[in-house]
Amino acid sequence: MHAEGLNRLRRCLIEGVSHSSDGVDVRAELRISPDAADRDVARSLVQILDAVEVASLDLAVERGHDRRRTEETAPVATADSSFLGRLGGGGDDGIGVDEVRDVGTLVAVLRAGHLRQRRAALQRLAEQLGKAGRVAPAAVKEAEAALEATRDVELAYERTLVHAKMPGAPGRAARAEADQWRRLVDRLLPRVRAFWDGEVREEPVAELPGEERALLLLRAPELPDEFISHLGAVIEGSAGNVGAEERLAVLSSLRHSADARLVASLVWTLEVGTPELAVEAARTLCRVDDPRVRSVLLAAYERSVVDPQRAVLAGALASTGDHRGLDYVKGLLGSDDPATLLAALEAMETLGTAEDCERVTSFLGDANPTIVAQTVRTLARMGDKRALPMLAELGRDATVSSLRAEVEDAISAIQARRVLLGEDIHSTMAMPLPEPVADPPLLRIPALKRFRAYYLYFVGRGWISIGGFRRGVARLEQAAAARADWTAPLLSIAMACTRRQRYAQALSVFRRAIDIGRRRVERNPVVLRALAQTFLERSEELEAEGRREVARGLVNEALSLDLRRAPSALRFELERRRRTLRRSLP
Amino acid sequence: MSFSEFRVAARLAIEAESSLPTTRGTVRRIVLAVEAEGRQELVTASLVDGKLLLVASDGRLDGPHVQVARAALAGLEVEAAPRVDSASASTSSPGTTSPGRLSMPPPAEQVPPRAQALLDLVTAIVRLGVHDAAGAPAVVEALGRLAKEAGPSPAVGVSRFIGRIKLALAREDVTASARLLDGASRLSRDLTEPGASEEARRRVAAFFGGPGAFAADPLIDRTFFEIGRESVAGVERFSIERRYLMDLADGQVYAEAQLRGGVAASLGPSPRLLSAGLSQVGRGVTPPAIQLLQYVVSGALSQERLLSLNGFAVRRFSDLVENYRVALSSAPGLSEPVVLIAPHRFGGEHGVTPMDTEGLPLALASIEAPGVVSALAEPARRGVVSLVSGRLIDHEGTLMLLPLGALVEREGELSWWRLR
Repeated sequence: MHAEGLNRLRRCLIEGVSHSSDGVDVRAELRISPDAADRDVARSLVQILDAVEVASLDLAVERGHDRRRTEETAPVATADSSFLGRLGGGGDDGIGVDEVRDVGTLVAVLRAGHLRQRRAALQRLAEQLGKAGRVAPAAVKEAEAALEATRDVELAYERTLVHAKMPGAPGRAARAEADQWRRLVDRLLPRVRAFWDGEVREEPVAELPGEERALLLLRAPELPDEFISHLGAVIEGSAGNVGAEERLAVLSSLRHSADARLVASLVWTLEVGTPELAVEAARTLCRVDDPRVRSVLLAAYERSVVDPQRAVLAGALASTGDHRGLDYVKGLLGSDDPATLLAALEAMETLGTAEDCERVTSFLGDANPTIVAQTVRTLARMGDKRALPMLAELGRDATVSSLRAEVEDAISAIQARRVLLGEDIHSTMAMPLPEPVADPPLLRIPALKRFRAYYLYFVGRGWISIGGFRRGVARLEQAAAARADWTAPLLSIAMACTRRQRYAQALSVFRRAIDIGRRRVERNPVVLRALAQTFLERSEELEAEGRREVARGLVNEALSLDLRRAPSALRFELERRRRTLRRSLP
Repeated sequence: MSFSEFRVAARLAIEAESSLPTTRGTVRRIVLAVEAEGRQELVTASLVDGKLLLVASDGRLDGPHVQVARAALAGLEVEAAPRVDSASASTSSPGTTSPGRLSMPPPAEQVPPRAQALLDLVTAIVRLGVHDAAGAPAVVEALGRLAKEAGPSPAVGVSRFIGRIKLALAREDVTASARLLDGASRLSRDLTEPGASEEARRRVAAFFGGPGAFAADPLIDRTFFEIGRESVAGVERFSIERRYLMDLADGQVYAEAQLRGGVAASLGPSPRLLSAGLSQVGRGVTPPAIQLLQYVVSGALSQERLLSLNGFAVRRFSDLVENYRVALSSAPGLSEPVVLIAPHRFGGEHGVTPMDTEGLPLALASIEAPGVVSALAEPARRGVVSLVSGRLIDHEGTLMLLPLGALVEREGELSWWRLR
């Protein structure tokens, strides 16, 4: 059959034999009887066309690549010609973060940039610190202070890496954390192998306490390939008796891991997982710098029809530079459904522009504290200075420490953005938040009483350090009774209880300490670590007993404190547990 | 009951009411459910300018259903009792027509319902054309009938076929449509012909599942390496999970597949090593199906194991074309070959196309996996990718690879990189 005839047959298959437009007699072309039924025509037609196609198959010798026209649409980007808009971008206008030398600018990017910019700025700052001899001492100090002040969980891993190279207390803490992580991996890897050998029934990562799981997975990029494959199997649902809830727990713990080795498993989960798993996979995927991410997020966004999920996907897509979901998400800001509204506000973190500031700011007065907190985070990322007065007002009136902390961070981020836009920093800092209400000063008591309290305190601590827990606690209680406004004995008791895993007992003593001096508790990183661990562990105990409502209350109580000085892993795990418990309750 | 009995029954019904109907009206159209050649079609009869126009629901104006309907309307009785459904009258099959009273085509062979469903799908799409077939009621109905014939829990083969044909029609892909329809046509013949060959029986088993889907001889004590994993379209989007396992004894690639949420596939991460004590394999399509019955999983991949994959990789891409042709010719529409290639270098317009030792390129399917191709670009340019696994597809005469995984070298260490 010659080429023209084949083309005619091809056209018949394209247009259909029942209405072939150019009068092609398909039966004649196929050389079958004019009376042949359509069925026989169809059979012959597809048989011939397929046979010819298969026979003509070849390699793409001429051009060497897929000749099809790409169907992938270009990202819909918002025009941002500012320094921050061009920072890290490609093209002629793009400015590489590695070109930035000024430490002050890097610190501002660290506060105001989007995730990728902040990561790059952190790395650049680390490089600056490495050149301590060649950089002005003041700049080094500024960089160190900025690193110390960076408490963003999203940057926890990168910050730890930088800290580990530094001398002093932060460096020691980071190196100790790395050692702890290594020991944990060494302990878990044989259990992972045993799990696949069938010797261990329970999946080792899912059954870890939350704090350890967070610590393990925040450093996922350092995990060996074998461990990453195992995690992939867990989140994909290929690990046997791991339930959907445990899969979700592991997946949400991976949110900030940003490891490209997990992309395939995350894509799999996004495509075939339940809606909850898919949304969590999208949140994790958008933080990974990998060329596969945008196209899968775009496809998921295009096929999604449920508002809260689609909003999250729109936000995730915007993280890759594609802002096509902006109008859709803006439309959702009028929703009465809190879940939809929350998802829309979350998406506006990456989608929102200065134009949307007024609309978003209106949610600062919402009755739902979760929506208010999310609005503050969104405004921080949008970086419009018109939000500053409202944020300052909210911060002044805030009675909850965590909300105040969020407001402080948001104001700092917005101010940093204005600095990057070349504005006068002093004009933007015209509305500092008043200092939070300080704890009342210690009462003046007679010296003898004071001496007795100190004596009991040190004796109590001595007893505890040599293992006399009960006697030690009794002395510390006496010390606390001797000076009713003194938190130190109570905190010693609470921390001793935490070390002995008596979380319920520790909880009540921590609460007493907070009642006496909240600020003193929130400012002490060591105490805050023990406190966060206590709340977390106790909530896990309660959940295991089936008392989920009480567990949720505990987590919320912990998160109402200013936890910025607590370790990232603990803060992350508390946040993750709040989301999980919120989902699991009716 | 013959057609005239409808008239008699209608008269009796009127007489029973002892009065003529008072409502006046005109019959504009009659719809008859006619069964002929083992299948039922609706035939619509109407008068256009005084001429009788009969159209069957299969679109034919002169088919057996139309002829039976015309005979019935003309009062030429058929002998066998017609069946009546709730909406319309029907006449009997032409196979039972009285030859003395009505001249009808010779009786068609008894077509099994599955074969008929496949044929109806082919006919419906070819009649409408690939351009208009996606979502057309006749095609949707034919696909539904095929799914129904496949049973309440359809086999992976039929589910995948439905997914592929939907995708081909949605993309108006003539090549893929022709191949899938040819496959369906051949399957219907496999189901119809009495003395079907062993190869035909294997194809049918691979498509519809059931007995015969796996060979009688199981594989004993084999080690497999998973070279790829993907979720592909079935009746629903991403409803089939597939793992491609390479037998480290001979390099044969098998496909372990299950419908989403199923429990038939083995557990374990990707990549992985599987030591299978007992497994059964299918035949008839490429890659053959596999079901692991006794196995041990390991995610620990030694350098030696990874290095051994080199021995099974295809180095001459012209061999791929030949093998692909053979696979498609034996089971068009069912075979989706998966291969492991060892590019000599990477080149082409974007520097990411695998080239063999003869300088021949194997295009990467950038439409199906745009991000995957981009992800492969950087390590490919640096020359640290030694093997690439992927599924072969073709478009307008060009063979292409949809990458699934790659063997890369990082700081002197080999590791398997899962791309999808």
